[in-house]
Amino acid sequence: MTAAVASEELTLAQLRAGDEMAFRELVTSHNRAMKRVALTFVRSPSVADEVVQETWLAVIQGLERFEGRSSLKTWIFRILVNRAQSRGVREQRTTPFSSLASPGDEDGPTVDPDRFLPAGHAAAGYWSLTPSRFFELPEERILAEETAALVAAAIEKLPNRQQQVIRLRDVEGWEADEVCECLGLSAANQRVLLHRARAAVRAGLEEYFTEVVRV
Amino acid sequence: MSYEDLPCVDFVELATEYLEGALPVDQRLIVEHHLAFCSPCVDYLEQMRAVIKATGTLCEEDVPEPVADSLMEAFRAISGEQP
Repeated sequence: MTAAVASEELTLAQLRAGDEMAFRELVTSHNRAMKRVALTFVRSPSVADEVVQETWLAVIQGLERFEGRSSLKTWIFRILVNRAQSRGVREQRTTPFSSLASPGDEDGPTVDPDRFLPAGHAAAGYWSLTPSRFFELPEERILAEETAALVAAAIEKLPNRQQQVIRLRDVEGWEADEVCECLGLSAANQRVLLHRARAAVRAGLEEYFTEVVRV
Repeated sequence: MSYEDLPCVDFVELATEYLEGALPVDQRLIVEHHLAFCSPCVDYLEQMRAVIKATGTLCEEDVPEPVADSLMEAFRAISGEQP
């Protein structure tokens, strides 16, 4: 048994025994990610709050029946996603899963084609404008509040499914397979969405810290 | 295999698969060979790593007290009902 599995079984036993500390800890560790994910399905923050609240109630009521076939976290988020999706439909917003082939979501290059030398050039496909050098700024810049604000703004602008994936993977630090299971994505699809999301954030930072170097 | 096997325009689309360790060995070798010769693509990859790091610093507000309180109340009520 791995440490993670052991600690999950312990948590589950505590929750079933009505351990309030264990429940509070569970709420603290997942509540904000739940709200962010809910907000990618429903428009209104208050509806998202309701969805999260309903999910917690369903979790409390379902604890006895939970069979541990998935992790506790994945189970919670699947309940959340189901509820958020049906609320999103009622809100008459197209749900992300019904737009699997939505244009502009997964097509096209993630870096402006003009940044590369055109066909016909001896070095076609190689950089004409190299990536600007924001990353060479000191580490403090990468970790600065200014940068965090830019990253947050860039994520807000992403299509829903890209937002879901980058939030769970890079903000919350989930593993790829957990994200796939929670959102019902294939491994390849998850990577495509993650790549497009990260590339868009990179482009946003580059634009801000721009210092394009011509070769 | 040469540096020309993978133009930069194609490398940038493989960056995440490379970082995720999801590329088949032959493609990974082509990517690494490209990186050995192409400093702008090394820069690009470093930027993607910087993006991941910066994204990981985003932290959001804690659970508001009233929300936490009402959830605790529900937990108490429901777990009290069960044997």
